[in-house]
Amino acid sequence: MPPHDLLPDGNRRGRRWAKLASLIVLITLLAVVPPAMNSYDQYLITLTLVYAITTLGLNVLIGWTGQLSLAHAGVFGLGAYLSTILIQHGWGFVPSLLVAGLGSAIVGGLVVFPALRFSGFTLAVASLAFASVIVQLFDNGGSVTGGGGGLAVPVFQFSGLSQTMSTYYVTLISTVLCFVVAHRMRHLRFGRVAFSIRDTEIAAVVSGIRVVRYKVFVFAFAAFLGAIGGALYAQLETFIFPVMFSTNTLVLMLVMLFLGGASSLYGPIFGAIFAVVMVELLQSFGSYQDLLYGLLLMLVIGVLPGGMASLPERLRTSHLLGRAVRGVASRFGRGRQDEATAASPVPPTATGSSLVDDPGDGVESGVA
Amino acid sequence: MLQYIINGLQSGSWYSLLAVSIVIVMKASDVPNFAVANMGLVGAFLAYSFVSAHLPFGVAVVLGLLGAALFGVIIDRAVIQRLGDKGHFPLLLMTIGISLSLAAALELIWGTNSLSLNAPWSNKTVHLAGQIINWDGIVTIATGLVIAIAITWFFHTTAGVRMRAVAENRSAARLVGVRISRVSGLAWGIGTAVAALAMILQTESSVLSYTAGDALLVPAFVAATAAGFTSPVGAYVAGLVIGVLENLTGGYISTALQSVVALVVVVLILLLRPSGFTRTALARREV
Amino acid sequence: MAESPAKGTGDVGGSIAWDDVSVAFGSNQVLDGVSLSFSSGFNGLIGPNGAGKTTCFNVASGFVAPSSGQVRLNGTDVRGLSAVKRSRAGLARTFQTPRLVLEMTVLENVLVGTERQHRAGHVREVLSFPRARREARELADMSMDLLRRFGLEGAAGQRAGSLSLGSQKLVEVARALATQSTVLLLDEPAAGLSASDTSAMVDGLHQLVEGTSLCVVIVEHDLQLIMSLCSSVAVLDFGRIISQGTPEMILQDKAVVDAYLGAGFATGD
Repeated sequence: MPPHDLLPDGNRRGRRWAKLASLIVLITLLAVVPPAMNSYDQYLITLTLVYAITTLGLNVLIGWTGQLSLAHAGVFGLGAYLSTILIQHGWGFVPSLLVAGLGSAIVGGLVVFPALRFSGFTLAVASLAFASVIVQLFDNGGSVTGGGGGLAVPVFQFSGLSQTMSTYYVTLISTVLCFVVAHRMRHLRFGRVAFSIRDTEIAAVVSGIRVVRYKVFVFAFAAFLGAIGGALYAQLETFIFPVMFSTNTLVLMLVMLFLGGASSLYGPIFGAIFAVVMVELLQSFGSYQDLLYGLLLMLVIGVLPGGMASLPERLRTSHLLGRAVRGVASRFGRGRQDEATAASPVPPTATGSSLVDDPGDGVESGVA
Repeated sequence: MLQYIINGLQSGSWYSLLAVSIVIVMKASDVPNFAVANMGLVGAFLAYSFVSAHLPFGVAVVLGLLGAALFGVIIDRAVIQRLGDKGHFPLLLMTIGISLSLAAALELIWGTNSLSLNAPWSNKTVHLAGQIINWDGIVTIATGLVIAIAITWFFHTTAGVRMRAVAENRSAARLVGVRISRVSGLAWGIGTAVAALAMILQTESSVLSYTAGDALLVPAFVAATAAGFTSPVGAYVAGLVIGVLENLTGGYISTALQSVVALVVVVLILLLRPSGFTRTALARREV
Repeated sequence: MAESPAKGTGDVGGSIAWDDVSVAFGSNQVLDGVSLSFSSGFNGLIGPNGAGKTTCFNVASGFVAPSSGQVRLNGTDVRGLSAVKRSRAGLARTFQTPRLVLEMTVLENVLVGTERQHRAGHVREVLSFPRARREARELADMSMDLLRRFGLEGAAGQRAGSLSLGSQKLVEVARALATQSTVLLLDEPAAGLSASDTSAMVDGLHQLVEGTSLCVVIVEHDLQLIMSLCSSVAVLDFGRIISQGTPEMILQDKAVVDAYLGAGFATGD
C-alpha cells in the first residue's frame, strides 16, 4: 500500500493510532511470552528476527532502490566475524555490534563505489566477486578467523538470563529499532528518492537527486543491517565458519526477500518466518533442503513476483475472490481508497527498470 | 615460471569456456546465467555415467555434451522463456535459483563423494622444453582455443547473425522475421554444451563433485564482464589472463591472495572504462 | 512560497543557449552546428520528427555529449557538469513518455522534485524534528498548490499508475516545476493529451510562469499551442536551425513553410 503520510486526512490518523496500538501489543507479547518457551523455540524466534533484520537490509538495496547486489551473504559474514573477533579482543558485546555494523557499512560503501557508475549485471558480478573474496579471507585468515574450522563465539549474557534469552532481547531491541527507522525512511523523503532511483533513475537525475551519493549510502546502510544481523547470528549460533556465509545463504536471503515481498516494508518479516518454519519442517529431508530452496526461489520469481505481501492485493484484484472481498470491505466503509490503490496491477516489483535496460530516450546519467 | 603460465592457461581455459558460454546466453536471452557452471556439471556427470557404463571416453563425452545441450534447451523452454516479459531482474534471480537447485539435485543423484572422470590422457605427461607438462593441460588449452575460434566463426554464420540481431534489438529482430524462441533455444543449447566442455575438462584434471563449479563461477563472470558480455574473443582472452594472473600470484606471492585476483581485475576494469560498455548501444537508440 | 515556483531565483532571468552544438551518432549527424538562445517566458522548439529536438534537450541535460559546441545555462558554460549538477544548477525537464514512480502517490511523485529544497536532512526528518516536519509540510503545501494549478488536487492521494497518460504528463510537469529551476525543458508535453488535459496544462503553465523569470522551452507538434503560448520559436530541420523569431515571423518564413509547416497546415493539423 502506498504511503499517504502527508495527506490531511483525519480518518487516516485514526488508523495510524490503531496500527501503533497493535504494534505495541505485538512488541509487548514478544517481550513477555518467549521466557516461557523452551530454549529451542527461543532460538527459533531469535533466528526469525535475525533473518528479518538481515533481509531488511537486502530489501532496502534491492526492493527499494533496485540495486542488485549479491554480496549480502558476505556482508552478513563480515558482521559475524568482525563482532566475534572484537569480542575475543575484550570488547563489550554492544560496542562490537555497532562497530561491526559501521565497519561493514564503510567497507560496503567503499567497495561498491567504483561499481556504481554501472548498474545491473556489472554490479551483480562485482558484488559477487566481493562476497567470494570475503569468504576466502575467512577461509585463509589463519588464527584471526580460524580458517575453515571457524571461530567459537564468546557469547554475551545478561545476568539472570540464559544465553539464548540475552541474545533474544538484544535482537528484539535491534529489530524494533531497525524497522522503526526503516519505516520512517520508507515513508519520507528517503523512500521517495529510493523508489524513483529504482523505477525512473533518469527522472531522479533531472530532479536534482544526487543518485550516486544515495546509492553509496544505500549500500552502506544495507551492509550495516546485514552486518548487525550477522553479529547477532554469530551470538545465536555460538560458532561460525566460512561455509555459513556462502552462496546458499545468499539464496536463502533472496528467497526470504522475494517470498516476503520485495519493496514491502514488512515483507522481510513474513519471509523470515516462512524460512524458519520451512527449515524446521524440512529438517528431516536433509539434502532435499537446498533443492527446495532453489525450487522455491524459482517458483516465487515465476509465480508471485510481489511476494506474500502482495497477496491481499492480488486476491482483491483477482476476479472472483476480489469482488467478494471488495464487497465486504466497502460495507465496512473502507473500500474506496483501497479500491483506487488496487485498481491498477502492481508493477512487477523491482523488475529492473533501473538495470541495464533502456534508461530512456537513449540517455545515460553522468556524461561529460 | 613456464609451469605457472601453463597451469594458468589451463585454468584460464576453463574460465574462458564458461565466460564464452555466458556471452552466448547473454546474446540471446539478455541474462547473466549464474547457473552456467552447474548446468555444465550436468554434462560432466552424464559423461561420467557413460564412462562408468563402459562406453569409450570420446563417445561418453559427446553424449554428455549432447545431454547438456538438450538440458539447456529444456531450461530455456521451461523456465527462461516463460519469464521473458518480466525483465532482467527476475531472470537473473531465476538463474541463481536454477544453480542452487541443480547443485542439490546433482548431490542427490550422484552423491557427495568425489568421483574421478578419467580420460585416456589423464595423469600422462610429456617433456617439453625441459618441463614436465600434463597432457590434460595441453588438451584443455587446445580445446579452449578451438572452441573460441569456432564460436567466433559461428557468430558470423546466418544463425549467429540472427542471435546478434536478437541481442541488439529484440522487437526489431522479431519484425524482420527472426523467431526469438528458436534463437534462444539454440543459444542455451550451445552455451550449455560449451559450459559442459569446460566442466568436463576441469573435473577430468581434478575431481568430479557437485561443488566443482563454485570456484569457477566468479572468475568466469569477471572474464565475461571484462568482455562487456558481448565479445566471445574478449571473454576468452580475459579468462586466460585471469587464469595466468591467479597462478602467478599463487606461485610467487601467496595462494591465499590468488582468489583476490579476480576482484582486482574487475575493479581495474571498472576504473579503466568508466564510460561503460553499453554507451554506444544506448547512443544508437536515441532519436 | 506557494505562489511562484521560480520566486527564489530573484531578478535574474532564466536563460539557456546552445552554441554551435554538433552531435553525431556514428555516421549519423543528428545536430549540425545548432546555435540557439532562449530567455524568460515561453519558447518553442519545433521541427519534423527526427530533426534533433530531443537531442537538443539531451545535450542540455548532460545525457548526450556533443562532439563540439557548448551549452550555457543562465549564461554559464555547463560543459563538464554531470546531469545531476546541471539539474541542481537550475535545469529541469520532462520526457516524452512520463517517467513517474507508478507505485507512489501523485503527491509523492511531485515531492521527488523538491529534493533540492530540503534543508533539514534525512536524519532530522527520520527523528521527526520540528524543523524537518515544518519543512516537509511547506514542501507538501507547495506541491499541492502546483497540483491545484493543473486541476489535479483531487488525485493527490491516488497512485500515479492509476492516472491517465495525460494526467501523468501533467504530474511530471508539476514535478519539474517543483524543482524551482530557472530553466524548464518540456518534451512534447501535450502529445497524447485530451483537449481538456491540454487546456489544463496550458492554463497551469500560464498561471505559474506569468510574472516570473522562468525560461520555458517547449518541444511540441501541436503548432497551435506553440504559436499561442510562445513569444519566441525556433525551427529545427535535419539537425540545423532553419529559422528563429516570433511566431508571426516563423509563419511567414518560406523555408519553414516548405520544410515543415506546409504539410501540417494544409492537412488542417
